[in-house]
Amino acid sequence: MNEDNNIRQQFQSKLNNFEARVPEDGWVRLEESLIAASKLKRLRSRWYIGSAAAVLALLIGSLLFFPTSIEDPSPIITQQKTIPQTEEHKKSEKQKAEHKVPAQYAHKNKKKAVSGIRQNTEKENDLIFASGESPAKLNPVEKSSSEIERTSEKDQSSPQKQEKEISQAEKDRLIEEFAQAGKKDMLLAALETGAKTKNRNTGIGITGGGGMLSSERTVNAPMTLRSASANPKDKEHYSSPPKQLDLTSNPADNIAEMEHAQPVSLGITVSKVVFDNLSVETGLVYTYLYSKTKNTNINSDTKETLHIHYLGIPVNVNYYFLSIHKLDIYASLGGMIEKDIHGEFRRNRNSEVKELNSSSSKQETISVKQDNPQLSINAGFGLSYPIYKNLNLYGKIGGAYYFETNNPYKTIYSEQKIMLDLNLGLRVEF
Amino acid sequence: MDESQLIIACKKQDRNAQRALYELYAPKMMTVCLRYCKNEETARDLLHDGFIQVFTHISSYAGKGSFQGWLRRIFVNVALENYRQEARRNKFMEEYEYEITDLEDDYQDNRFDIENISQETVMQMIQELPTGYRTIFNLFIFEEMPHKEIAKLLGINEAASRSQFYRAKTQLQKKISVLLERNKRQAQ
Repeated sequence: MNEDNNIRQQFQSKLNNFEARVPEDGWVRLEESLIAASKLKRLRSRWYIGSAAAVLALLIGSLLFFPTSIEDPSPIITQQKTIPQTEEHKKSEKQKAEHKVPAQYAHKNKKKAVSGIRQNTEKENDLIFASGESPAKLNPVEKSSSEIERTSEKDQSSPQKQEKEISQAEKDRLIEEFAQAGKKDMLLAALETGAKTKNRNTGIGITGGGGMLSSERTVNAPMTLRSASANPKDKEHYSSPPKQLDLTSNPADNIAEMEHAQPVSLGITVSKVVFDNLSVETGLVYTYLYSKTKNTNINSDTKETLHIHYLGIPVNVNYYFLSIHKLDIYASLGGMIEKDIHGEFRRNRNSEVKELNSSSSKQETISVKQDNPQLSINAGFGLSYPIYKNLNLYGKIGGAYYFETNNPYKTIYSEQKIMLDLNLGLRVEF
Repeated sequence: MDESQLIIACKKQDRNAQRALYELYAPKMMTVCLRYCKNEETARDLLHDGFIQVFTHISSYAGKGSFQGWLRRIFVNVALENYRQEARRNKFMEEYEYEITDLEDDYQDNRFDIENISQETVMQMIQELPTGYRTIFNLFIFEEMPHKEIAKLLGINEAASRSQFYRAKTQLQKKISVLLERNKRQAQ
C-alpha cells in the first residue's frame, strides 16, 4: 500500500501544475452549444408548463364539479309494473303516497343521474312542486308527462325504443309518485340519463390532431436522418453514404441541426359502448411526418428532408366518468399500430474545396420505406359536447409513447419517444 | 472579478463570466480530460461536454469545498461516462481481467524514475495505456479512489480493478525504462 502511495505522490507532484493546451475554438463551440441548450430549455419549460396547466385544469375541473355530483343518492325505484292510467287509479295512488323511492330505474351511474338533475332543474322548476302546495292550479301528472315527452323528443334519436323500456302510462304514474315524495326531479334525471346512455351506443366520427411540440437538436457531430439500421438496399441510391458527411473536415467544426416537425393526423373513428360508460373506439388514422437535417462545415453544406405518410389503426378504451350539464368528460387509454404508405427522402449536398478550387453540387431524391410498423400506447383526457342533436364536438389531450422500431429512417417517433398530443373531432352518436 | 464573483455571475448565465471561468479553468480541466483519453480530439469533446455540464448545473454548487474540486469531479464524471460508452461498444474490460498472482512476476520494481521525464511525455505515456488500464490508473492515482470504489463505479469486480492497475503500472514502468535507456544511449 505504501508503494502505491509513493507512486501516487510521484505522479501527482509531476503533473500537479501541468496545464494542457486548450483548443483555440473551444469557447466559440461552447458558446454555440450553450445558446442551443438554452433554446431547448425554454422550449422544454413551455412544454412542461403547458402540460401542467392542462392537467391542473382537468383536476380543478374535476374537483369543483365532482363533489356536487355525489351529494345526493340516485333515485331508488321499488316497483315495476304497468298499470293503466286512469283517474281512479291516480287518486288511489295519491292516497297511498308512498315515500319510498323506486329502485329498478336507478341508473348505474350516480354522477350522471345527478348531473341530469342539474340539467333539468331550471326547466322543471315551474313543473315540480310539492303535492300539497298548489294541486288545483295544475295537474302535475299531465304537465310532467308532456314535459318528459318533450325532453325525450329533444334528446333521443329513437324515442320509440325508449317507450319500449318504460311505457308512457307507467312513466306518468312514476312521475306522480315521485312528485308526491318530493323527488320528481330525480326520476326525470334518471329517465334523462337513460336516454343519454342509449344515445352513446355507437358513434362515428372524424378526428384531426397533432403533436404539441416539435423536436430540434443542434450538435457538433454530423447527423443524418438515416439510422444505423438502414436497409442495405437503400444504400444503392447513395453515391456517398452519410458517413462521408464529415470527412471533409474536422467533426468538431461541423454544425448539425436536426428538426422533426409536429406530426399531423386525420382520421375516421367508430366507437361502441360495451359496458356502462365504457366504450371502445377504433378507426383509421392518417399521419404525416416531416423531418429535416442540415450539416454545415467548412467545405460542405448538406441538407436532408424526409416526408413520410402513415396509416394507423387505433384502439382506445374511453371511460366517461363525469358529466357537467351537457359536457361529458372521459379518460382514454389505448394504442395504435401504424405503417408507412409512402415516403420520400431528399438529400442536397453542396461542397467546395478552396485549396483545389473545385465545387460540386448533388441532389438525390429517393422513395423510402420503413421496415417495421410503429407501435404506440397512449393515455389522455377528453371532453365531449353536443353541438347539434346527436352531433358531438370532442377534444382529447394526452400523451403517447412510441416504441423503438429500428427503422431505417429517423422520425419524431424515434427521436422523441414520449409526445403530448391534442385531438379534435366531431362524432355522431346513435 | 474573483472566483466567487465569477461563480455568482455564471449562476445568472452571464456570458462574459462564463467565458472568464472557461479561460481560467480550461487548461487544468483539459489536462484531466487528456489523462482519461487516448487522443486530443476526444479530450476536446470531453472538455466541451464538461463545461456544458458545469454551466448547466453551476446553480447546484453551494460554495462548500473547493470550486476546482467540484469542477474536477464533473470532468471526471464526463470522462467516465465516455469510458462506459466505449466499454459498451468495445467490451475491452473483459479482455484485461487477469488475476493478480499472474502479475507479480511482471511487476518487479516499484520505482518510477519520472523526475527527468517531461510532463508532456508522462501525459503521453498515460494516454497510450489501454482504455481500461488508463481509467483505473487515473482513478487510483489522481482521484485517490480505493479499488473497491473503482470497481463499483466501473461495474467490475475489485480483483479486476487491482489487476488492471498493476498491469498499468507494469506498462508504464516498461515505457519509462525504455525511454530512460534511450536517453542514456543518446547521451553517451
